[in-house]
Order: sequence, then structure tokens, then C-alpha cells
Amino acid sequence: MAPSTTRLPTGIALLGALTSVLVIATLWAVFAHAPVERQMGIVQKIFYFHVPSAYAMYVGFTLAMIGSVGHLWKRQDKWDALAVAGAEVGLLFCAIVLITGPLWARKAWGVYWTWDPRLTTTLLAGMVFAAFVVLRSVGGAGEAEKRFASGLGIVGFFLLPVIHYSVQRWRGQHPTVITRAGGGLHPDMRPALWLGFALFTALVALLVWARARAEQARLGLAALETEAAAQGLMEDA
Amino acid sequence: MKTWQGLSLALAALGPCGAAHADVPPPPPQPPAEDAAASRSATFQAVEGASAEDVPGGPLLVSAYAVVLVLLVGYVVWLARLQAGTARELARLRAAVERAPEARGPSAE
Repeated sequence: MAPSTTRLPTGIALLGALTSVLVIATLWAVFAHAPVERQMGIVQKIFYFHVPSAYAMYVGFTLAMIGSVGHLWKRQDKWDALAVAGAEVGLLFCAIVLITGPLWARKAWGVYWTWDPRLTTTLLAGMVFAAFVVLRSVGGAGEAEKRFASGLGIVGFFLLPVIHYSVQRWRGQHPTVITRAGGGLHPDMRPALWLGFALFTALVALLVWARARAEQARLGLAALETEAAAQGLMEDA
Repeated sequence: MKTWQGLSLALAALGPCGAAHADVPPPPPQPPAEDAAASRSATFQAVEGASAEDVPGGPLLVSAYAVVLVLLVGYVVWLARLQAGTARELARLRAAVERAPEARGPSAE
């Protein structure tokens, strides 16, 4: 059964309210609480949205993989809707990462882009999931397109550990401030980063939920239209 | 024989010149022509006068936050339009289903 498209569920409304509060709190922590970084200056404040965006990208792409596996296994619309939502929202955050990162790099490295392992693998993952989204947008919602897109969702997921460990394995120049050892973050900078993580967790949950719900409604509607057309109800509609 | 004499005279004439050149300190080594990246990795030089940043961070920061805002708000607006379109289609389908028995007449039921 496709969800109602007219009434906003209470959960989404509450999550939206929480997200709004977190936006204000994070902006306060970034611009009023966190100090300016000594070497990079004010541009370092990109970090508080850039890193949580990368984390939200991981979450989105992981949900896309779970939805893809679920769809290939169960062939149910709810899994397909989760895959589409995860891929699309993950790609949105991937775009944020790939745009805000170079703006920081212009100041820190002197260039907008360099073929650093982490940058390159992030771009590659973004291209795989862009192919997923384009396939589902222009290729229709046929079973073959859905299955091929599910395959892309699974393949793309395996790039995530490559992105994460690329800095350690290939000694790129991308900074690794957050480590298990505690990292090199000033104590006054930590609240802004943790609030950023909370904000982007709420954002990715909200967007994936809303998008999956919209996709499930769209798939349900397409099935109803097909059925109605088969019964000759759509001739004058 | 005349050739050897000529060479000897020439060397004798150049001798003082060479001695004079030996007293002059050698010119400072000229940096080799190289690109900016190679220069940065080989030398560190102090800035003269007030230090000024080459790349202003403010516009980059504003651009980054503007990109985040535009992408997120744009996606939410697109999502709202998608939902509205689905709701419209659903209403159209519902109207078609409600009209169908009337169009077919009582015998169709």
C-alpha cells in the first residue's frame, strides 16, 4: 500500500523541527563558539559542514546498498524506494563534499583540486551513484532498470571503505584530524563538529525518509495507473 | 716557431687579466629557472613588510556555506514538487475511477 501523499507523518514533522533546532545550534557553535584556526584562518570553518556531509554521504550510500540488496532479494517496492532515496540523498551530500572540499583546498593547498586518493575515490563513488540516479530518472521504472540500478548500488557501496582508508593506504595529502587517538582538534572546536554530526544525521534521516515515502507513493501510483489503464478507466482522465 | 712565440705573448698578456678576475668575488648564484611548485618545495622565504594572505578565506567560506544551503533547499523544494505532482496524479486517478461506473452505466456493475 502506497503511503498517503497529502498528510505529513508526525515523525517527519518532529524530525524536521529537531533539524531546524540543530541548524541554529550548529551555526552558533561554528561561528560564535569555535575559535579561528591559527594557520588556515576562517576558511577552516568549512570543516564543520564538510566532514559531517561526508558522513551523511556514507549513510545515504549504505542505505542505497541495503535497499538494493533487499530489492534484489524480495522484489518489493519498499526496498526499491529505500535504494532510490539512499542513492539520491547520498549523492546530494557527495556533491556538497566535492564542492566544499575544493573551496577549502584553494586556501590550504593553493589549488582547487588535486588527484589525491581520497578525492579521486570520492569522485568515483559519486559517479557510480550518479549513474544509479540517472538510470532511475530517465530509464523508467522497469524491472530491468531497477535490477541494474540495484547492482550499481551494491558496487558503489564497496567504494566506501576504499574512500575511508585511502588516506592511510596511499598516503594522500587529505588531512586526517579525526582519529582514534583523539585527533588534533582544539577542545573548543569539538562542540561545533559534534553538533554538525548530529545535524547531518537528522538531515540524512529526514531526507531519506521523505524521499523513500515519495518514491513508494510514486511506484504505487504507477502500478495503479497501469491497472486502471488495463481496465479502460484512463481513457478520459 | 713563430706560432709558439705568439701563443706565449698572448698568455703573458692575459695573465694580469686573469689575476684581476681572481680578485673579484664570484657573482651570487642565480636561481635556476623553475616552476612555482618546485620553487615552493625548495625554498622558504620571509615576507617583506606586512604579511598579507594571497587567498582571502572569507569569500571561500561564504561560497561553501551558500552551496550547502542552495543544494539542501533546492532538494527539499524539488521533493515537495514531486510529492505535489504525485498527489495531483492520485486525485486524477481517483476521479477517473469514480467516473467509470457512471460512464459504463448500471449494466456494467
